[in-house]
Amino acid sequence: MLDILKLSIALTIVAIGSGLVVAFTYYNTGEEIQAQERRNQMEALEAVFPDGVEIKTRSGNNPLPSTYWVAQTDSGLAGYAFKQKSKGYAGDIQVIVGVAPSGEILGLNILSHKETPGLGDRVSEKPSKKYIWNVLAGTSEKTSPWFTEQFKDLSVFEEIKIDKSTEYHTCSDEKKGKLEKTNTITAITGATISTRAVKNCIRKNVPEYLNYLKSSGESS
Amino acid sequence: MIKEELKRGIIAENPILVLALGLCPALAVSTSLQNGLGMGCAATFVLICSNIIISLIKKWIPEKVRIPCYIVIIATFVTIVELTLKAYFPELNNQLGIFVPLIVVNCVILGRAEAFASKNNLGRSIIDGFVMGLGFTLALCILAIIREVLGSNKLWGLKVFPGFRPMTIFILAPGGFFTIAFVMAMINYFRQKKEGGQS
Amino acid sequence: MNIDFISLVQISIAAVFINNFVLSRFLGLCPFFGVSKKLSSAVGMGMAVIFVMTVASMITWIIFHYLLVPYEVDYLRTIVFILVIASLVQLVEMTLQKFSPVLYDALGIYLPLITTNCAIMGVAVLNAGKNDFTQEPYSFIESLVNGIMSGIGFTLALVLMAGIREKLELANIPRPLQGLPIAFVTAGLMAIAFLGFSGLNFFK
Repeated sequence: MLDILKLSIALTIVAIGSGLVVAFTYYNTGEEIQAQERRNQMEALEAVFPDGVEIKTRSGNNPLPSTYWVAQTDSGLAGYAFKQKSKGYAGDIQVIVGVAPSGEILGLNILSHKETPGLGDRVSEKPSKKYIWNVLAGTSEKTSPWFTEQFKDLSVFEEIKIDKSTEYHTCSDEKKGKLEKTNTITAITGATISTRAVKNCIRKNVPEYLNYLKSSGESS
Repeated sequence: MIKEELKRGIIAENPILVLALGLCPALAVSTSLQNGLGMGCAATFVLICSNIIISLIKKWIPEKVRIPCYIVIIATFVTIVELTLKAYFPELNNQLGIFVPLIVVNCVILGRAEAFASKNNLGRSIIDGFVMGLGFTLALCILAIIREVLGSNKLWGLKVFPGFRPMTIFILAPGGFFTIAFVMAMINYFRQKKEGGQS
Repeated sequence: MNIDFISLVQISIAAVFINNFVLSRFLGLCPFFGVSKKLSSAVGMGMAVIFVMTVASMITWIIFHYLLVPYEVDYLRTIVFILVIASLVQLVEMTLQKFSPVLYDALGIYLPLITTNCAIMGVAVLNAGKNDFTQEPYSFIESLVNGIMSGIGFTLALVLMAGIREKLELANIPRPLQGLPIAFVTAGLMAIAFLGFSGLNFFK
């Protein structure tokens, strides 16, 4: 009996000690974690709008999603942002998309995905032309995700076509202009399903949202 | 003495490549050098801290409940690592995913607690935690370098060879198995050659 | 209760084939290589894992959603889960010993090994996270199914591996590859085969 008591006391002390240590750590990091999450959310939003807009969170009723965002400039409404998801190759792809009231895509940001590394996960790839040798020598350059970038300036109201012959980041400027004119994106080699999933994210509900917002006369 | 200890942790008793402990995180996060190094540091931190605490309080822990006590202590440090990563290294935390909480069941850590820290004094336990952690981290980095260069033609996220088409399979699950098989076979080959030469 | 049957089928197929615990998620590798030398012990270990995984996913789900989340102490997740699993394994061992000696004889020696099997902890942590398909937290039934099916997936891989390794014993393998390295190569080849399941999409 005494033995059991001794065992329980030892275990209890260890558990209480660990609980205190963890609680202390949480107390010190909790705020930073929340701030980090807010910052991520903000950065994701800012990336889909042009610079210098004021972003406000709105809650919507059917058919609008429960939360969406409105961006405003001094001269008026700049656009909306919606969170969208669609079934990719393995699990859902979640994106946030910024659109102008006219249906022109302002920016696209992949929030989360479960795509195959090396193939589908290139939806959020940054085309690094940066070689390790250059970095060791001290030269650097800025990169951005090519796949999401090509959606910019396309229209959500028209069917977005998929060109499987090349990848955007290898195209010439002339070809890029042609793609934009024909409302076309290039597919990721070997990952057509992931490409289509991202396209579906945008085409699925966003046009209806925009039409609804327009018809309900919301302009502020 | 330090030199011998280092040799023991990194080569003779390397946790991953020789003892084949802690394989799960070793294969799962060695897709890039950043992840491998991050995981290695996190596990080493937990290993050293738990070794310190366990060697300090080993006298007061009754024999029968020692394993649960060790587990609680390890889990405490894992949670500290988890919260710290979440707060200050969110990207690394996302990459490592569920393998951060799973450090708690990494057999290397519980194994060292049981086999070493519970029997030795503070100084030696710290050294043991350090060299074993170093061995774990180095093994992870070796696997990660091979897989990242072959699988995505990158190192630390930067391109390596111009014009080399990466073999994606190396950063997928099968590549992990092949890489560790190859590294282990190399180690066996050299060891057998050495033994063969001696006899 | 509203049970989404399609989502359960999705979870099952994903857990057994697409995200097979051993061959694609890299969970539970230690027992996978440790206990796969003989077919009979592989089956025993597999059964023990299915059993513990199922019970563990139920209990950890209940604790997580009715204890940790309401009191906002979900940062204690890791500590609580590992303690629950460790004591659960002990409890299962004692219960089996007392009430079902036959089952205990079959599974008994594998149970202590299960505490440090990261597959069990893995399924508990995954169930506390979000469902890959819906991005919603797992419901109780979903996490239960996920537990059973992940265990079955683990057992499938383990039994296949044991069958292959029994035959490998007879093969003439270069000396440096003998033992673990060739087992890793085998696992790699199996993983390639399982890679074929990813992209399986029944319910578009």
